[in-house]
Amino acid sequence: MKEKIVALAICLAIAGVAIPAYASETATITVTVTPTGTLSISVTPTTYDFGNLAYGSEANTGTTGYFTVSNDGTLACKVQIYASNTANWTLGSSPGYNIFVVNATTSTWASAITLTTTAQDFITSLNPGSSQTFDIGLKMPTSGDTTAQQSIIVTLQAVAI
Amino acid sequence: MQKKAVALMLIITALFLQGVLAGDTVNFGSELKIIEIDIVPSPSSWTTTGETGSSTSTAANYFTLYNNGNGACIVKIAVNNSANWIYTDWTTYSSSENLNYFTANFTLDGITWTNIATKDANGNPQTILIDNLPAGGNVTFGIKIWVPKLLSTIQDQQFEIYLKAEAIL
Repeated sequence: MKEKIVALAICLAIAGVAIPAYASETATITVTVTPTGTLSISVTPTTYDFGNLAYGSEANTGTTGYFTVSNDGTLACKVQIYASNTANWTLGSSPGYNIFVVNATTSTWASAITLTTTAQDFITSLNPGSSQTFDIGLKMPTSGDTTAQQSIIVTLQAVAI
Repeated sequence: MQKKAVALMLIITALFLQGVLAGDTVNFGSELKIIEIDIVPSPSSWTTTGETGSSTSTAANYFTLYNNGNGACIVKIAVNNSANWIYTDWTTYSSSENLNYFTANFTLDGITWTNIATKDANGNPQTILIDNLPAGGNVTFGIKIWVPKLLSTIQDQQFEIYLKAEAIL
C-alpha cells in the first residue's frame, strides 16, 4: 500500500499536476476610543416640607423612596450627595445646640449615610435611563435659639465612572 | 522486485504522457502561493475620541493595505468587542439605544461605508474588504466607529480590526 502511494505521488509530480499550497495571512489594527458624553441627573420632587418639629425630635420622608434621582444623560455615573447649613443651624454628625443632622438612604435607615457639607458617594452606579429612589431624614438640634423656619439644601451631583 | 517494476512502469507511463521523452519541461515542484499583507501606517493603530451616539472616523485613505505576496488574494475584515463595548450591526445600533452597543464601518472610496461584522464561530472574518487584491497591489481604506448611544463607563476602549488575506483559488 505504501509503495502504491509513493508511486502515485511520483506520477502526479511527473505528470505536472501542480499541487497548490495556499497560504493566508492576518493583520490587525488597534483602535482606541476615548468616549465622551453627557452627564445629567434630575431629582423629583425637589422639595419636602417637614412641617413643625420640636427641638430634639426626628423625622424623615419615609421608607418608600419619596425622592427619585434619574440619569438623563448618556453616561453612567455615580451620584454624590451633600447638604448645606441653614441660616441658624450647623450641619453635624450628631444633634447638638443649633446642630442638626441629615441622613439619606436608598433602602433602610439602618444603612443611611450621614450627610456633610462636602460631597460623598451615595449611589455607586446609575446607568443612563435608570433611576433610584431615596429618602431624607432630619434630626433636629437638641436645642436652639430660634423658632424661625430653616431651609436645608441637599445637593446631588453626578460623577462619571 | 515486482513492486519496483510496477512503480517504474508507472513512472515511464507518466513521463510518456507528459511528453518528457520528447523533451518538454516537467514541473517537479508544487505551486506555492505566498500571501503577505502589510498595513501602513505601521504599527497600525488609531486613537480617537468619540461622543456617545456619534461616529468618529479616519480619513478614507488613512490605511493602505499592500499585497506583498506572489498571488492575488481576497481580504476580509472583522472587529471584536472591547472590554465594555459590545458589537452590534448597524440596523440594531441605529434603531435602538442599547447600553454599550457599538458598531463599525469601513470605506474604500470615502463615500460608501460598509458595516464590519465580528468573526464567525470559527474565528473567521465575515466581511469582505476587497475581493481581489492582485500581487503587488494595494488598496486604501478608512475606519469609522459608532460610539454607543449610552455608556456604562467612560473608560477608554480598545479593540482590534482584524484582517485576513486568503489566496484566490
